[in-house]
Amino acid sequence: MSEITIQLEGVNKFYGENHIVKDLHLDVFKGEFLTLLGPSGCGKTTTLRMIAGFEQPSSGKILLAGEDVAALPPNKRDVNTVFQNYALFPHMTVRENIGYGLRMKKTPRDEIARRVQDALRMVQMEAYADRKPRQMSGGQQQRVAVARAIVNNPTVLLLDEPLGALDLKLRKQMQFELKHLQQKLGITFLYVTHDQEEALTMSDRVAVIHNGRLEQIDTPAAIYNRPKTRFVADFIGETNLFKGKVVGTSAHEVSVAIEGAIFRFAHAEGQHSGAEVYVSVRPEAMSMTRERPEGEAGLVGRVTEHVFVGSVYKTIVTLPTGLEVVVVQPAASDGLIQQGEEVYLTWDSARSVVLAS
Amino acid sequence: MKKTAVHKKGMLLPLLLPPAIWLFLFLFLPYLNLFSYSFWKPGPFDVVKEFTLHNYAKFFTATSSGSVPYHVLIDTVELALVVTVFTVILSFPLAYYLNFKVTRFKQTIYMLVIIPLWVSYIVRAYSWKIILGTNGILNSAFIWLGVTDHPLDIFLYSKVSVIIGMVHIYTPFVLMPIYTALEQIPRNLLEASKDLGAGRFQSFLHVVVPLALPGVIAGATFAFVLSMGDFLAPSLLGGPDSSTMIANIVQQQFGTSNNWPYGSAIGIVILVLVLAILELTGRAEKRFSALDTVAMRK
Repeated sequence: MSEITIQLEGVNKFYGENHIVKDLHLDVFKGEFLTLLGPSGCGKTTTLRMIAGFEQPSSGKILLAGEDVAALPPNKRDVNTVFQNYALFPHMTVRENIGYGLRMKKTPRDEIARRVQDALRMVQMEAYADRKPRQMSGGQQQRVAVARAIVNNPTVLLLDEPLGALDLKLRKQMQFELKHLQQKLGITFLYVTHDQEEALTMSDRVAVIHNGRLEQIDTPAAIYNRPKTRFVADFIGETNLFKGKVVGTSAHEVSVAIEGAIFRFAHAEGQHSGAEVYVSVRPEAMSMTRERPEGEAGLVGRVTEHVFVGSVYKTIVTLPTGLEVVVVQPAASDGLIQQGEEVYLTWDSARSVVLAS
Repeated sequence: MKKTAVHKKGMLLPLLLPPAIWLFLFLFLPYLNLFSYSFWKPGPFDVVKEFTLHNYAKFFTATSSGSVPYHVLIDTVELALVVTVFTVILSFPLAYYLNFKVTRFKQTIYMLVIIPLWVSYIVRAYSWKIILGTNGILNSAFIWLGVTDHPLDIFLYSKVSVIIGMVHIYTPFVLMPIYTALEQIPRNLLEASKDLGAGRFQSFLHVVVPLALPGVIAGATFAFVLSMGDFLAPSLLGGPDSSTMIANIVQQQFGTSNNWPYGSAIGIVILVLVLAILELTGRAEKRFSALDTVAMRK
């Protein structure tokens, strides 16, 4: 994973006064599954459309396999897109839809037939080859849309929220199918979604985008466990954000005052004494006890909600300041805590992150 | 969906009754009347109510002068086809341009094409007399340009002027369905086509045209059927003989010739022909309607 397939160099996009994409630098490696993740309107789809060629960047460069594609229209770029609502041609059968790209490139007839058949098999749609799109369900149309793109063997496959219109169960199934397909084909996938769970499940790397700016790009685990900004910590999964102030730093740790108590965390770079910070702690890294924990600083709060959500218990503890803290514990720890009880909250400082505010 | 009041049987009948009565009185009865007349004999003052097939036979056999009346029907079909082809040729590029190229004055230009529909047919036909006549705008322009030194009378009162007039009058009817069909094409299909390597022309040929086809068929049907039954354009703009259309013959039978049974028989022949064409184009439209929105109109 060293060869770069897509390179964005300082790409900006304006729509009139609106700055949609802000100075975006992004390297996509050959054969990787990279997801652009962000809330709607963050510029992720615009970025995808610029790579596909449907939009022109206002400034900056887009390189595809090392070549600047500014002058190339979409039909001359070696990328294919799976569109949000599939965009299958309604007047063509599944077979004709899949063969369209090859036909446009004047591929010999027998080769088209063979490759279309391969693509059909790949997405398990052989039985539907002669159907029209409107005779199929959303999930089936989705498969055809993927087949129509991959049959052209593009350098990069762009996927614009391709599972957005499917119901939850089918979406989960398609996530794995897409991931397996990508691994099998070795094609670079650039995937756009606002669904963080989808991004974490499928991707080799995730690029979190917020307000047109790249917040963080890393592996799903790193994004989840070591978010670099407050937005990423908040957007990916559930987290507790505590506002605090750095009161001391040493080579290995940083001390932060939170709600009047002092906590120590593994050293967070660039945090100087007196800095206002946020501490992000995942609910599953929190623990609560009835007794004051020994030798550890703890926050005191009252249990306001304690619900069983299947595999775990989810507890909401309200601090005297009104801040609500979410604690997730395995379901086996039943019977420990009652609603209305006063508890001490502690956390695994190794799994907590100190973020600049 | 929840059942609304209209779906209940009790409400349906009173709602359907007025249009049903209307259709019965003003469409079904007149056609029935026409149908009966076509099998009766013409008399000196009134029809003679005796069954005969003579009226139909007369239409398909040669007269003493050697001309066969139904040839006018064939000429009319030809003329209507020419008008249809020209209206489609004019409408399609305009509808395409309005849908895909114009952004600012889209509605204005569309209305400019549609507004003439509010102007009386006769006024529009007469305006062509002013343009094409011997002392008309076209001749004046030619003389001024030095193309000719005397006014030409080849423009007006010919097949050409009839075609020009009808093309002008029926173009809005063709533009509207084509415009609507093009408007309904999801734009992401064009992006998908581009994305899959199709150039502008390929996308046009493989995506735009097939999806606009139901609209083209609908528009062409309008133009064809309307110009087939037209008798004003040929009588106002047409020449003495060559540009007479079938509807003029029918009009003559009910007017100067005072042969209602013969006129009725021709009317029935035209009716059967037009219904057959409507059935065919209706099927073709269904066959080619691929978009869900179009399909739902079935």
